[in-house]
This record gives sequence, structure tokens and C-alpha cells, in this order.
Amino acid sequence: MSDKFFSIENLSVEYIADDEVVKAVNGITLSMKRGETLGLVGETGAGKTTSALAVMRLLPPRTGRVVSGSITVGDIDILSLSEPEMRKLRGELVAMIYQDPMTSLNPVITVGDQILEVLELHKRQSKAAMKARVAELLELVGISAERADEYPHQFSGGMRQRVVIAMALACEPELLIADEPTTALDVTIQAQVLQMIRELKTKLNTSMLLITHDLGVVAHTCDNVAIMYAGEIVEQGTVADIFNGKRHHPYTNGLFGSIPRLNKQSKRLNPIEGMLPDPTNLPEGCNFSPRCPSCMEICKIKSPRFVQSGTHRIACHLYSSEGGANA
Amino acid sequence: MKLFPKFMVLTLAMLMLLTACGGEKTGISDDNSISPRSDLVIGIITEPTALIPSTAASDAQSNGRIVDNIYEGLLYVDESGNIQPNIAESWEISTDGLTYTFRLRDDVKFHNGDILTAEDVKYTFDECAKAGYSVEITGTFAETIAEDDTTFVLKLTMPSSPMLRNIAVARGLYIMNKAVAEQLGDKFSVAPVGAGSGPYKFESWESGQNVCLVSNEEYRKGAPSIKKVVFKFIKEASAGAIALETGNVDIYGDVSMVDVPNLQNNKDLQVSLIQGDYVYYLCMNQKKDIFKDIRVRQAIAYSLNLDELIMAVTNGIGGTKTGSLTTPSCFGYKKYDPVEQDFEKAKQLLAEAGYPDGITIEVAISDGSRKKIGETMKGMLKNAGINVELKGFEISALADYCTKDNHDIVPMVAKGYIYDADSELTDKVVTGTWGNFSRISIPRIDELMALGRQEPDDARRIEMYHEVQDIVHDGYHIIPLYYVNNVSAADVKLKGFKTRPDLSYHVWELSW
Amino acid sequence: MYRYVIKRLLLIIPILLGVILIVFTIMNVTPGDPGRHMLGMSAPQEAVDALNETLGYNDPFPVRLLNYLKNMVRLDFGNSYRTKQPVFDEIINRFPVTFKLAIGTMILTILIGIPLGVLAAVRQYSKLDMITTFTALLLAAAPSFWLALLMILLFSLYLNILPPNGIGSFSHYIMPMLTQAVVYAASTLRMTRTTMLEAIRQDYVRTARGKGASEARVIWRHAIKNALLPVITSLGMSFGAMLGGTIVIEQVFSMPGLGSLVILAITTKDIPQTMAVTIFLATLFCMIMLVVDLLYAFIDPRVKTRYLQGRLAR
Repeated sequence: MSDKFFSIENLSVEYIADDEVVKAVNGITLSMKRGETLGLVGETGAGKTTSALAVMRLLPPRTGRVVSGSITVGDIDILSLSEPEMRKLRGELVAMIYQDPMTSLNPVITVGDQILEVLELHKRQSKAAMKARVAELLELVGISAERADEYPHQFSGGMRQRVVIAMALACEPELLIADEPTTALDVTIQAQVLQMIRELKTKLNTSMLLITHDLGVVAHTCDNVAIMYAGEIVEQGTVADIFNGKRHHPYTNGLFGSIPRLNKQSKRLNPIEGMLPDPTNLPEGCNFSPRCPSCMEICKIKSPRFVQSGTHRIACHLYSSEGGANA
Repeated sequence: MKLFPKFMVLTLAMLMLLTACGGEKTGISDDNSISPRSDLVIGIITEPTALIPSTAASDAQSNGRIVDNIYEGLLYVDESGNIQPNIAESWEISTDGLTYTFRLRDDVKFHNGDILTAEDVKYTFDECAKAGYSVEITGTFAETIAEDDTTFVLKLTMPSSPMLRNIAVARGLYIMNKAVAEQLGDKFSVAPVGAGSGPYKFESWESGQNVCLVSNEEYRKGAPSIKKVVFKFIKEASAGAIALETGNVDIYGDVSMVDVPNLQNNKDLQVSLIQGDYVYYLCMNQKKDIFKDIRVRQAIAYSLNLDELIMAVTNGIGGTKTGSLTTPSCFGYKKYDPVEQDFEKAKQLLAEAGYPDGITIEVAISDGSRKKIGETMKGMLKNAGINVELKGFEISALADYCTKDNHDIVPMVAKGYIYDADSELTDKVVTGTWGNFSRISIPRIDELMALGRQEPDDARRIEMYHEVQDIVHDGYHIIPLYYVNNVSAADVKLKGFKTRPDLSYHVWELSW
Repeated sequence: MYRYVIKRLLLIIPILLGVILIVFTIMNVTPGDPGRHMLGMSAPQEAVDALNETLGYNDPFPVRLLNYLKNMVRLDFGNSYRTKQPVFDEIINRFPVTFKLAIGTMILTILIGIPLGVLAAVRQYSKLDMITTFTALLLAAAPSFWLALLMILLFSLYLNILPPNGIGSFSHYIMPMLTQAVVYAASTLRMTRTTMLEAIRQDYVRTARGKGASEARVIWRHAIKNALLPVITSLGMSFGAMLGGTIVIEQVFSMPGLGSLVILAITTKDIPQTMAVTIFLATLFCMIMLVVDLLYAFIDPRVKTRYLQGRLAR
């Protein structure tokens, strides 16, 4: 426990929209050692981005609320900080890379100035020194330093994402949260960007929370994986556990099964039947029960607790004593 | 937000600072302890179009008021209505009434020092005739001759008894300096420097703002008390009233009737309300069959309640009802009482005329008083079974419409400033005259008017004009409505202030 | 880029021709004539006709139009029927008044409308937001005539700190500017509020916050720059409107500007004067729009790139 650099304990987040309460995240627990990469996997709407924003305390102020739980980075209790204190951390201790590079940059400020801003806010030096650092960062992400005076619209999607990465890494943060950093890019660029992130991460020994729905990315980049469904973590473990393990949560099986394979002939894709549950009206018992091919009676009544075996945890009645399985 | 209050404070501070730099007095009269003021600010509602006498004839409100102080005429009419010599010290009229000989003073100086001669008089009379203004007067001019420096001869095409009075009153015949006029050319109408011989000299005309006159210290009748007068244009009557109250102007000549009670209550102001020379009357187009029947015309007269009309149109204080077309100060005036409103009688008359179910007529109007008259009539006449439809025009379109005889009824107003029944009636009742919108064509009237113009005996003239008015009155050919009251207000300390029937201000008679 | 400017300048010509045609037609086709206006209702018809003849009013319409255009090419716009002086003399005389009024109004509009709009957006749904939006709507809906008279009553009569009419000094301009500014500030406020609300919801604002930027920085450095782009275009157009729309203000405050000139010209059927003022204002307006478009290029880098690459000069 003590070598855990980053941990989330029993975090629950809600959105309040008019009269409805959307339970976006329901009691998740995660942790990471320093220098590790934890992959957070799940469908769109599972609560991954919400969790990330909760860590940064960037939830929409009037509608988003952390209901319970704690978040710790290093030995800092994130949720107990005042706003000015949190602001000091954002960009310096914790930094985030966002999903859509086309809209994440301010169109009327030069990319150089936008990167400069992070330095201005946290590591103020002489103008010249900061500018030099900006040039350095641009080169680091593979952009010619002369382009610092250009505007975002003069860059392609992939390059813009690199700028965002440069911004995120400018102050050498200890925790990097990458929210689907390559989803909006095409496949060839994806590989490049991921490669770059990995290299930088290694160089700076940054811990990273990588959010994605792409299992291939997870395989290449992560040390540990957590699978999220309907605001809860359903399975967690090392990459080996998840990819090579014998036992899995039915949802995980579904995920793997739905990946189209190029080397096999198949007439149809294998989606998981059904849809994500309505977050304002979650089902009784296990959230996945309506869609689970292995659903049992108890699944509809009682929420499953984690069954641990080594580094691998699965929250499913199939493997729990209540469900009638042997340990 | 920290920045926002700073913004606002900054703005306010800036504005206050700049206000302080403003400098000009906001209008309260300076407290002058010893010497009384020698300047005067008169607010008027319209800006003049030109400062030459000929145009002043058609526009008393702006051109006229200013021109009155700059120029003078051969003769003038005093307070009792008598013709007095002015530039002309004596005159003779030939027995056939066709030749007028004026002997001019030799000591009349224009503002630029030139001595006024008969050449200037001839020039003025010719220009007025050429320009087309005051045609009712200049139409009879046959010839003008400057015999020598102090003798001017005017020959007419036919005798005209009112001609002397016309000349005395017509602004269009104020004498201008020929040399200056010719020298300045087009610029003359906007900057007539040195062109007049009156108590005030033209100084400047700031377009859109004001006209400044300064006193003529060498005026042969004595230098006026007020040394500088500014005619300021304030195009909104309510703004003008406020300007009076703040002292921004000393006189406002065009107060709206609505503001009058308020101004009357203000102890720092004096309000002068008088019966004016303008008569409002209704013309019914007798070229249209429906109005050829006297009973229809009568019915309309009986449908009107003039007191209510005056109340509606002028807030009660703006008019005095009347049954006469002429004003009391007019030569040849006869008093008639207006008929009392009687809807039953009106309906009966209509039925007799063949319209038991009433009639529908149209009233042509333009903005201002005409509009209000029309609207009030609409309500009133309904009770007699007469349905009124209003048709609105802007002023020149109205003239166009009526000239072409398209109108049914049109409210008209006439200026009686010449104070002679000849001019007040001719344009209304004589066959074929342009202003005869009632399209009256009665041979006896035409005969009498023509005779009256040439009749040298005053008593006989009066008889003739009375007969004309009787015919008009008994035949309900025109329905007079009311005399327009004129009102203007001034600072209470101003001495000699009064509203005149022709709207003019004799600034040389005013003092503090 | 220069090609674009030249192109736009040349485009002004057909626009002007259109304006001239329309105004000339309207002035000549509507009933009434200058002669009658000048001589008054009681003047006989022959005199009126004679005057019209001297003014050249009696020629058939196409002839008059052609003559006008021919003279226009030689830059001869004729003399005012009313004053007999060259029409542009009067315009040059009066333009400074209207211009000063417009500039002052513009400054006030910006100073009042933008900060309040930003504030209302930042404190959306707060009491401040409600009050400012409501007041803005109220003032914008109020007729400026009424507002002007109220101001004169308050500041000239009761408080006696401002002159009620005329143009002698700066203090003469304060009430007129305020009266005009109120309307434009209200719409600027609403527009700024809307664009700010939009800007604040953008992803790049979240990115800025993610970098640890304070709220103030987010608003003034990131959101505002983007929010103001459409507002600036709108203000530019308003400036054109301010130049031509001072009529009511000028009447109530007795200011000798272009607004009162055009009213005077129209109501006295002074065709040359009306044409001249209209042409003047139309040209001015086109130039202002051109400047606004170019300005937009300078402040929005996305547009600037397109201009420089000549892609807009299709």
C-alpha cells in the first residue's frame, strides 16, 4: 500500500441535470505504483472520462459532484484541497491529455504561447528561458520549433495532439492522465503518438492513467488494466492477467470476442447483446445482468463483490461463493 | 469580478472630467449685479431656408421672424392699424389709381454704409415679382421706375385699393441692397451681409444651429437696447419648453399648447397668448355633386361643435371659435356667430337633400392641426349619420391632390396678415383662384370683389365686402372653424415682450 | 490581399448605382414637388410651376436621371434646391457633428456593453445576470425620443449639469451619446453574453483550466478573445448604423448633423441634397464594412491565413 503513488478509493461521482441524478461513477477503487501505466478500459459512457476529470477536479462546477471517496496522488489528498491549491497542482503535478485535438486548443492563440502558458503558471522564468523550453518541448514531440508562432488551425490533427502532449509534459508532471489520446487520430498516426508517449513516459518516469476502449493499445502500453462497466470496475489485473488469464468477467469476454479478426472468416461481428444501462435508473443487482449470457438468479438480486486471486480481481457471482463457485 | 468595477469607475471618472472641461454655461442666466443684459436668445422651431425678404412672405415662422429685424419696408403699419411712412416719407396715388409715386428719405443707410436709393427699391420690387412669391400682390405690377435717387414710381395694371396696405405689410417688399445682392449672387440668401437697413445686422448663420444678428448702432431711429440676438433652432416643441425653463433660451416662439399650463405656472416666465390672424376653415368641393346642395353643406355645419373641436385640436387654449372668415382686425370684417351643434337638424337636412341614410365623405388631411381636425370631425359627424374617411398626405402632395379637385373636404388655414378683406377673401371665394378649394363660383361675388379692389371710398368698400361675406355665410359655402391663438413665452424679466399675431418679434422694442 | 481590397472598393460602385437609382426614383415618383414646398400652400400654381421649371424639375424622369448620372461622373452633385449652395458644402459642415456623436456612442457602447455582457455570462443565472439582461431589454425597447426627453428633464432641468441642446462643447454631446449608446449597448451586452457563454463551454477552456489557469485568466485570456469575434463584426455594422441613424437624437437635441440634414432634405423635397447625403452615407457604410472585414482578418488568425493565401479573393 505504501508504495502506491496514485490511488482512488471508493469514488462515486454524480451529475445533476434538472431533476435527474445521473450516477456516472459508483464506488471505484484503483491504484498505481510510481512509473506504472494503468489502462482504464470500457465502452463510451462507462464513466472513464468522468473519473479522469474527477482526479483533475475539472468536473462541471454546477452539475458534477463527487459524492464520496478519496483520491490520493503522492501523499496529497486531492479532494480536500482548496481551489487555489488545486490550481497549483494542475499542469504541474497532474496533467491531462484530452480526447479531441481539434477542439482542445485555443484557435486564436499561437501554439507556442499555449505551451508557454503552462510554464508561466507554474515554472516562471525569464521570457527567454521559457521560450527556449517551449522550443525544446516542440522538438521533443517532433514539431519544428520554428512553428511555435503558428496557430492550431495550421496543424493537422496528429500534430495538434502532439502539441497537447507537449503542454501536458511541459512541467514534467508526476501523473499523466491520457483520455483516449489517439481515438480521434487515424491508425498510422496513432502508432506514432503512442510510441512517443511511451518514450517520454520512460524518460521522465511518469505514472500514467491511460483511458481507452482499444484493447490493442492496452496490450502495447499498459502494465495494469481495469475494466469499467456502467460506472463500476468489473475486472482488474496485470496485462498478463487480462490477456492471458483463464477466468474473466463475462463483459471482458464480450469485449475480446467482439474484436473483429482479420485472420478468421466470419460473416458477422460479435457484439455484446443489449446496451449500457440508463445511468439514472440502474438495474437491481449486477449492472451487467440484463446483458450477461451467464446470468444467474442471484445476479439479479445481489451486486457481486470482488473475488481476488493474486493480482487478478473479478466482480462476478460466477466466481463467488454466493454464486456457487468454488474459490 | 474585480476588473468590472474598475471599468465602470474609470468610465464615470472620465465622463465627469470631460464634463468639467465642458465650460459652456448650461443656461442659467448669469447673475449680473449691475449692468443689465444686452443679448437675447430666441428659440424657434424651424430653421430658415433663406434670409431674403421674398421668401419670408411664404414662411413667417422662420424666415419672416429674422428678416423682420434686418430689413425695412417703404411703409409700415402701427399698433392701431394705420399706415405710416418709413423709408418712404410721402407718397401720391394718381386719380386713376394706376400710378403710385413714393418720395424716399435720403438718409437711409444700409448696414454696409451704402445710401438707400430708388434703384434698390426698384430692384426689390422686380426681384419679388420675378421670384414668384407674394404673387397676389405683385401680380398687378405693370412697371417699376426709379426716377431719381429719392423717387420711386410703381405702375399697376389695374387699380387696387388695398395696394398701399399690401406694400406696407408685405415682407416680400422689404428693401434690399441691390449692390450687395448682385455681388453676392447665390450666397446672398444664406449670408446677406450688409443687405438690410433695419435695426439689426446679419452676422452669421451656423447651419442647423442658429442665426446671429448684431445691433445696427447707426440705425436712424436709434440704436436698439439689445445688442446681440441669437435665433436658435430647437426643433422639438417640448425641448424648447425645457430650454426656456433652464434659461437656455430667453424666448421660445413655438410652444406647444400642451406645455402652456406648465409654463404659465413657472414664476420665472411670462406667457403671452393672443388671438392670431390665422383662420381655420372647411372647404367643401362644390365641383362634386354632393356638395352642390346647400342642405348637405348645412348639415355638416350643424354637426360640428366648435368648442369641442378646439379642445381636441389645441388643448382648449389654442383657438377661438368663429363664424367669420375674416379676423376682427381686418378691414371689412363682419362678425357672424357659428351655428350651434344640432344632430337632429343635420339628419333632417340630409334626408331632405335625399340622403336619409346619411352620406360618406372624405376629408383630406396632412400632419399637424389638419390631422386633428379631421380625426375630431370623424367622431362628431358620425352622430349625424355622416361617415368620414380620412386620407392623409404630406403637404405638397395635399396641394397636388386638391389642385386637381380630387378632394371632398379639406381643412384650410389662411394667413390674414395683410388685414384687408381683399386679400383675405379673394383667394377663398373668387372663381378660379388657386386657394378657392371650395370651388365657389358665384358671379355676384366675383363682381363685388373686383369692384371692391378698385373702389376708392372706404365705406363703400366695406359694404361690398359685407355683402360678399353674407353670401358666403348664408350659403354655407365655407364653414369657418376658429382663429388660431398664438402663444409664445419668455423670461419674465424681459421687457416689452409680447406675442404678435403675425408671429414676428420686434427685437428692437425689447430690453432687459 | 491587396487584390481583395481593390475588388471590394470596386464593388462599391454597383452598390452605389443601385442606391442612387432607388432613392432617385422614390424621390421623383412620390407626389409633391419642391416648388410647392418652397413657396407654400397659398402660392398660386403658376408661380409653383415656374419655380419647378427653373429647378429643372419638369423634365421627364429618365431625362432627369440621366442628367444626374452624367453630372455625377463629373463629380458635380448639384446645388441644394433649398439653399442654392453646393450640396456637399452642407454635408462637410455637418459631418463632424454626426461623426463625433457616432464615435462617442461607439465608445460608450463598448465600455458598457462588453464588460456587463461578460459579467452576465460569467455569473449566469445570478441576480446580476437577471438584472442586467432585464434592464438591457427595457432600455433597448424604450423609444429613444422618450429617453432623450427624460434625460433632458433630469440633467438639464432638475440637476442643471448638462446643456439641453446644441453642440458648443463636449458636455453637449453627453446626453445624445448616452441616449444612443443605451440601445446599442443593450444589444452588445446580449450578444457578448451569448458568445461568452458559448466560449466558456468550449474544450479549450477546459484545457486552460487543466493547465492550472485561474478563472480570471480563463475568462480574460481565453474565452473573451473568441467571444468577441462576432461581437466586433456586429459593432462595426452598428457604427455604420450610428452614422446614419442619429436622426431622432439630432432633432430632440437640436444638433446640426447629417441626420437632421437628411430629414430636412426629404421633407422639403430637396432632391439634390437628399441624393448627396444618401450617396455619402452609402459610400461611408461600404467602406466601414470593408474595414470591419479586414479587421476581422487581423484578429482571427484563421481568417487571416485564408486572406493571405488569397483563397477568399475568389
